[in-house]
Amino acid sequence: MSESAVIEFSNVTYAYPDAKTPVFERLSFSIPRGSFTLVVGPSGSGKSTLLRCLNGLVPHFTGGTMRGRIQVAGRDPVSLGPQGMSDCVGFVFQDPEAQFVVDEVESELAFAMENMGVPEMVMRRRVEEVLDQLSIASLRRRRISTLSGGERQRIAIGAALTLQPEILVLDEPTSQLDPQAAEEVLTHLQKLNQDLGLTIVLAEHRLERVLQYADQVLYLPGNGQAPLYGKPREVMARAEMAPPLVSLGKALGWEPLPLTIKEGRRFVSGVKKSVGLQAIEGSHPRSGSPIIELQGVWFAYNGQEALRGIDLTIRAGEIVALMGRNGSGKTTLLKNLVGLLRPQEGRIRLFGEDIRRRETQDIARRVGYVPQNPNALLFADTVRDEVIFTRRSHGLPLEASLDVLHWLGLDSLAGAYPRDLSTGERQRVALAAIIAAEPQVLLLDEPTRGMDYLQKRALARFLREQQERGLTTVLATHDVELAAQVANRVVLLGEGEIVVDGPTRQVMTDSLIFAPQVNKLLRDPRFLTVEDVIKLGLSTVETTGGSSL
Amino acid sequence: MYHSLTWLLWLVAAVVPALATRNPLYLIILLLTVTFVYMALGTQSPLAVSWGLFLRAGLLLWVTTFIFDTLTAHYGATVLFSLPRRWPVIGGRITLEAAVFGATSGLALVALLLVFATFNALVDHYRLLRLLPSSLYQAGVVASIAMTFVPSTAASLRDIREAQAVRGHRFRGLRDLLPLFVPLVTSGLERAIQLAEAMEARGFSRVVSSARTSSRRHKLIISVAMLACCMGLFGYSYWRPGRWLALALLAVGLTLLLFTLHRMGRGSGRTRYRRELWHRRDTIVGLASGVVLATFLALLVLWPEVLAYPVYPRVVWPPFEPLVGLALFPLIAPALVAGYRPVRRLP
Repeated sequence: MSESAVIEFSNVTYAYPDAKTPVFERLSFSIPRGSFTLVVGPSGSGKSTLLRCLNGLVPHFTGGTMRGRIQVAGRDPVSLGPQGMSDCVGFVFQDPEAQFVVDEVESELAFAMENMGVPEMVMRRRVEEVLDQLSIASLRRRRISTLSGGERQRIAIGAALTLQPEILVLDEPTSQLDPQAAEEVLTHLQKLNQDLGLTIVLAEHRLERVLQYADQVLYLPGNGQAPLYGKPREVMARAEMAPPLVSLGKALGWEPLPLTIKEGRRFVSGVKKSVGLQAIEGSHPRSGSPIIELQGVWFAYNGQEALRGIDLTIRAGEIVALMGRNGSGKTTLLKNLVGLLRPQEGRIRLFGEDIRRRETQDIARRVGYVPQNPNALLFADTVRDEVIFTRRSHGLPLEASLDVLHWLGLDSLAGAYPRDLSTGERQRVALAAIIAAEPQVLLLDEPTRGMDYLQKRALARFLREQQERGLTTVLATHDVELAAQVANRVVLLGEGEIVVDGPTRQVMTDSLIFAPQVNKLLRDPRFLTVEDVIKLGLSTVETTGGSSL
Repeated sequence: MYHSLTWLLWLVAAVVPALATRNPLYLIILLLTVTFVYMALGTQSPLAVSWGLFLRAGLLLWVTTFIFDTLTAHYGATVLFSLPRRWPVIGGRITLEAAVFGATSGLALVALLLVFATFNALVDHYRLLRLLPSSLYQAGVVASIAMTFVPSTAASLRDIREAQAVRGHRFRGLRDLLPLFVPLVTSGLERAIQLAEAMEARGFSRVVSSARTSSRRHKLIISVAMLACCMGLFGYSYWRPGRWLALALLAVGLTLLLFTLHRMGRGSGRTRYRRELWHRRDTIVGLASGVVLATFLALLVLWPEVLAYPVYPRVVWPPFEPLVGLALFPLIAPALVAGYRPVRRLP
């Protein structure tokens, strides 16, 4: 073990019980003290398993076979187990809901210290320090159940920090958060790393946000391929998965590869104006017949207004992205469209027909709604059975059931138990279970939660294919890149009202929050995604040939 | 606001009169006092909604008791009217005495419910759990987790029902429960495993393993103490001549139990964050509750006929002893002295 390494894996091989292939084989790397390490890779490639090895949850909780040697802060987590590692490794989990023991902020922060027998005065001081470090002092007496996702995740980080661990391990802490909340959490992590020299190991899908803070990246490609480990730039150059900016840089052969917009700007001198917007828009369905019509829709939960006079018309074949902060009414709007909630005022018409007296089950025959949490949906023994269940419920013939699995690339998983799948895969199975009813309208609520870049791209491709077949889609999403890839139109909600409604290119250009990375770099409405640049020809981007960084 | 111990004392002091008397005049005074305390302090509490639920449940209970007793007792001197004898159960004379008995018993139940409702709305459950001796710490953690699990399970059931409805699922028979039940159970189990991991990662099992080492001697003492408590209770209820001996046995058993739990707690190597502060107002409310408690216990033992209200065979207007009515007033103390709290709790 070298002098500065705080985490060292040598030839580690681990396989879950009854698994045919190991999650990783002969994995070796070492992480220096006080550094910021990013663990990336497609979903299901073993990121969580790796992180859980650091404090002994794997193999103590999971069983399985482990070979090789792991050293964390001079200890052996395999023999000590999580309780022996708890004072040197702080752990934050993906789901902010499922890691709290006590519902009160201060008590929750003190929980781990109480277990360790830390004296009362020391506890008081450390709780104060942690409250200040994470700027959550104002929340100290609140109930955790009344906090927002971002606040909860900061409390979870605080709870892990009170034992003053040497290492903080976070397993996709922002995957359930909206962009603003995610930003908050990540900024605080960076501060902890810089100001306190805390060693941070973070698994994360939103590479564009954290890549710049990372000292090294561990890329786990999964499927038995060899992992990559090194400086962010080196790993990104060889990894299959990369944020849009890096993909663009690769496509244009920029060297050294830019990781931030600031670095990317040095390569761009301008864009050619010769090609018009029409070239990339293709056939844009503007004139289909109106399918969804909302007139003055109001909705309130127990007197708290969630929708305030929504007027909206969506035409056949459109893909509309509903965007806006958490609590701006996106989910409420979608639920009103399928009759799970009923507007208190105003009317909703689907296919020209008022849905006031229609049952949800009837509406759902033509309108598919995929809820935020796929776990609420999945109950059958196999993926195939999930699809069959939907078709039987709607009284559809069962022969064509499996086509939908083929469209979504789930053929190989047809016999799998849905709950064993990764989050991204579960999302797709839930989508398959809804699409199975062959709806004419598809409503998606946060479909990219827990999906990696490749899965997102696959989803975007699927939605566009379905659009060709005449499917109308409304998706509520925080994911700017997804919206940029698929949507023709963006509707921005704020406090239950429509703030902006317009074509995607117009809304997303030059926006501080809603501009996708490529657009931030090139600042031209013709370019939202890497695909746009490729379609228009790489030569439209004028480069300065790469200045030194 | 107040120390959890203060609230516990207040609860006991309010429960004893509710159990001890059937006299509607005292019960009404008790009801008004408790309601006043809730109105003064409890309306902003996160559990304030539950008070209304308790009240509604209480009223329902009162109506049920009243109707049931009136129609089924058939005993007493003042006959109001008669129902045909052939009718089962309710056939026979319907008396004023039975009606009054039903109304007063119902009132006692309502009073008891409202006392608990007010306590429930005002006390901080998490702090209350912290009063448990360290040796019962695990039980406390289990209880506090259960408190967060109930609302989250309700929320996930709602999500599941919605999700299955949009798949065209209709409820027609028991078989159709499966699509609701399976995700609920599996989600619950998954959450439980995640929580277990999170607790493990924060060193919870250290406490468990150190508590396990508590000696055999402690277990023996606890068994003996529990036995003494049981014998004491049993003796008090069924062996009139030895009542005082039985009470003494109960006291010894309880003391032994608490002492042992305390001793075991010291060995657990666990510390506590932020003990609750005991303010002067806690002393005042504590004393006030003590006065009520002492008065009613003394009345119950020495002069029980003051609290009784026999309606049979012939009903009379309930007697009113001003001093007994006055003895209930100290229960209002939490509402009166809360005014000078030094720091106001943030909502």
